[in-house]
Amino acid sequence: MTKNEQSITDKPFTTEIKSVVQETPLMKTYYVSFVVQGKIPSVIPGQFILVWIPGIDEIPMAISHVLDNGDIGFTVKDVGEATHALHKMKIGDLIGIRGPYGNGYQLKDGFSIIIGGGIGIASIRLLVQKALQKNPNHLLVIVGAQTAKELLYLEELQEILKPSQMLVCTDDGSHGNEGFVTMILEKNLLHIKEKAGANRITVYACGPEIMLTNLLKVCNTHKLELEASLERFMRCGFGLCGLCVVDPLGIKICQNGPVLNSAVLNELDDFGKFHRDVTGEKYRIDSNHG
Amino acid sequence: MKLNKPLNVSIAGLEFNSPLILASGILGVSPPTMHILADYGMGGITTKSIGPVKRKGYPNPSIIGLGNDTFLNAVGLANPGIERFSHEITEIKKKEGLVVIVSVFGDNSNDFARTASLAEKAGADAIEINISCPHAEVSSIGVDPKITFEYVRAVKKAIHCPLFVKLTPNVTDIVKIGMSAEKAGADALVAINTVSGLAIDINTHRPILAHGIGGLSGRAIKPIGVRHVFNLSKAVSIPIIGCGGIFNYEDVLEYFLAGASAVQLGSCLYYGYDIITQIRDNLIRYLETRKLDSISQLTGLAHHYKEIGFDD
Ligand SMILES: Cc1cc2nc3c(=O)[nH]c(=O)nc-3n(C[C@H](O)[C@H](O)[C@H](O)COP(=O)(O)OP(=O)(O)OC[C@H]3O[C@@H](n4cnc5c(N)ncnc54)[C@H](O)[C@@H]3O)c2cc1C
Ligand SMILES: Cc1cc2nc3c(=O)[nH]c(=O)nc-3n(C[C@H](O)[C@H](O)[C@H](O)COP(=O)(O)O)c2cc1C
Ligand code: FES
Repeated sequence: MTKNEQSITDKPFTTEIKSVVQETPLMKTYYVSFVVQGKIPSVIPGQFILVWIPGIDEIPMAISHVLDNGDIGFTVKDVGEATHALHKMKIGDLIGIRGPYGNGYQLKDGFSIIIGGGIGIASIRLLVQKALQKNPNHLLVIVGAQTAKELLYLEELQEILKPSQMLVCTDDGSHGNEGFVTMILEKNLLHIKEKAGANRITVYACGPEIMLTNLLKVCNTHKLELEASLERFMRCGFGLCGLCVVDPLGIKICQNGPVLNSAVLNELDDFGKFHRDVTGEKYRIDSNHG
Repeated sequence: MKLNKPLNVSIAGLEFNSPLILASGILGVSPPTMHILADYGMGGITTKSIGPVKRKGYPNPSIIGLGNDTFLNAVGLANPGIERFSHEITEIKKKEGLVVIVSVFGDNSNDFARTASLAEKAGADAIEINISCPHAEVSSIGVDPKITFEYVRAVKKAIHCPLFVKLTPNVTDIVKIGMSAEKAGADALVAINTVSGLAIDINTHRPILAHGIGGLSGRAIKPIGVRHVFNLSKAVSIPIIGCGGIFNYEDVLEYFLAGASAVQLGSCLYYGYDIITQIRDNLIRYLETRKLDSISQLTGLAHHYKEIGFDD
């Protein structure tokens, strides 16, 4: 996304945590006001913010909720120092927000398959809402997690989606189908293609990178278009530091991503293989890079 | 290439096919990205500042925007260390016609010299030394003419390629530092690095950057940069590369008129890679309209106006 004017929201503005919802044992949703200088920034599903935890760190978080009054919500999985510190924060505590950043998903006409794995479900929540409004008859949502306990927004999704619009799976089979989202997708593809008829099918997804690389293979094999949201280490969030760049296309995940389509993903050497750390050094995802 | 000709510049024997050079610390990590920047119109690139060993830098927030195209950063010289970065230099060098400048720093003059020498071996066309980051230890070098002399001399002895010295604006008299660098053997000066600054959050009462003090870049610092280039160019005979707050071709021209022979672009990349091509094409158009053969003809023209005060 090339901008024409610098937005004032590149400076973190501090705001009180308005409410906290425990979603799963490891995930909490935080709601804050997102009215900056009297304006409510508009949010595209898949965009993210940088959340400043004063004295600790500033980290990227997908925007998972947008309320009419200008409040936004984001869901945090407790994985390390900063997310742990966030999990300890309470209503009334101050955090800083800047953004929204990134391109977001481009919801296309035709049949949509929206897939979320683990905390990645936070990134697709708004997209599911949008797709439901746009074309409810051409929608399938697949969510997966390691165990039943970690299935994010499960009740809510079951409320807004018909059983025919939703598939659930867990790695251990503790809820829904046993297996990975990619397996569930392949198993149901024939049926989905029948439902889609002549309509183009697009898959939208967020989850662990290994899930996304497997998904790209499935999509390539079956000629489905994929839009996947990636994660890379970030400092600036607006295209200056270069830490989030994926090679060899010079694509900045913070600006040109985090959502990339099949055409781009197929050209990336880094996808599923390399990340850069806080120093800019490249390392293999599967190595024990310290 | 022919189209670019009026924009060819030569600095310390290095031929640049465009006077636009990527500033250190901006996007300077991925080799393919450096090549893409060249395709968009950069004649040279400066890597992020590389030290003798891996360094994590400061935690986030480390780069924020303040509005009006102005930014504050305290990255803290995060870098993988020269050993691990060397193959990236070799990779960046693979692009034909692109001048590769490696920015280096260290804890002492030996570190500087060793890092510079390794960078040259890896393929650097020129070394830029960062003695000027306002939020790291190296800032204490670039504020003292004697220490500057010592460091420039040490690096100069260790390398064979041209040496650029990047100056800090956070001094009483930049000219003294610049002259000292020239005397010690610098082949060009780069002015300016970021201006020391601070932003405080009014609700938490805390500085926003994790490190506290940061370096101001972007639109707000351009007049400071232009002024320093102007004063330096009166006092030294080596070329000056202007830097700070360039967002369009007019800004580039200002730096040239003040005495620059090339410029570095940093914060303007906020607007994406296209801005490079826009600036380049507009410069060509300007030169054509004025019937000028080369942008170099503009260097220092503002000095003809005697009413410009030399001092503050
Ligand atoms: C665009 C984007 C959207 C994200 N959305 C969500 C979300 O909705 N919910 C959620 O729980 N998590 C999300 N994440 C991941 C989240 O940012 C990390 O889990 C968090 O930064 C971890 O910080 P930590 O200190 O707790 O853990 P650490 O132990 O410090 O790090 C754990 C992992 O997080 C990564 N990480 C740490 N700092 C950063 C940073 N500045 N930028 C990018 N990655 C970092 C590390 O590389 C490491 O792989 C998102 C990441 C990106 C890039
Ligand atoms: C995020 C960021 C990181 C920077 N890192 C370095 C660095 O490592 N070494 C250096 O010499 N200058 C560094 N700088 C300074 C720039 O190279 C440049 O001198 C300064 O930003 C002014 O130019 P600009 O206004 O065009 O950005 C950095 C600037 C920014 C914004
Ligand atoms: S996070 Fe700095 S360029 Fe993307």
